[in-house]
Amino acid sequence: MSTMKQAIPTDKVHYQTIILITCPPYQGRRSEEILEAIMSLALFDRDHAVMFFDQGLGWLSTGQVPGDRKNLSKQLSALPMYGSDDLFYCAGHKERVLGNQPVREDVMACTLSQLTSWLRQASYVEVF
Amino acid sequence: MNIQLNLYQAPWHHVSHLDALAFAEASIARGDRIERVFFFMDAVYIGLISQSPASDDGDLKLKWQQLAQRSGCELLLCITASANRGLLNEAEAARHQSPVATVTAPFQLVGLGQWALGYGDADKVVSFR
Repeated sequence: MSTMKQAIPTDKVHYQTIILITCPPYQGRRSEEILEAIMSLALFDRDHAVMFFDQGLGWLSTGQVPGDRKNLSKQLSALPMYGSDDLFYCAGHKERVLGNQPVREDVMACTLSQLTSWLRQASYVEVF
Repeated sequence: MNIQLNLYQAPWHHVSHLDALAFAEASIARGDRIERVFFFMDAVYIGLISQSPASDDGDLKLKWQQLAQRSGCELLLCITASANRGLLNEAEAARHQSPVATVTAPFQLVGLGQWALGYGDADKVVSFR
């Protein structure tokens, strides 16, 4: 259920909370718990954005085949249903982490400069 | 200043619990309030009642309990992360039909909503990992 997002919302200049995901996916139960935490922020109407950074871009790889484990890509797709809509990745890290693989379409690219600005303005930053 | 502390690592895995305790003591000493301490992921093991650390290791669970007693802060374990790891209080043990409860007060089993609350009602959220 991916929805194409091509542009950063220009009216959004500030997020109260930034969740920065820097760890690769499929780290056991921990990865699912990260998503559960994000869902709880959305369920409790906490203004937030999720930023995939460095090795965290591995979460965005298309065509994930995790075997017996839960497919994190499908769970990521459920975030907007909970109200977690603003998902970004650092465009400068894309080639290094994902190479030529396409990035899922419901996550927007942002520059390191934009990310830095959001991090500076946020009241809370949580790093996973 | 109201502060929420988040811990994510098992108590024996890293020094994060010692760091968090030291931070909490220093914060309280300067007049800040530790509103709640939220233990998530493997950090929930801090609530396990059967921990029996070696005498020269220090008892982290006891240190958290003493902090809560002195400061009135809440010690909150994520209920789902706890259940996944076998940490159940009496109510959860009954619900899961488990013969034994492995968590007691002052540690409370709560939903992740309590973790999310801090991102708005706390002046600072400080995480240790």
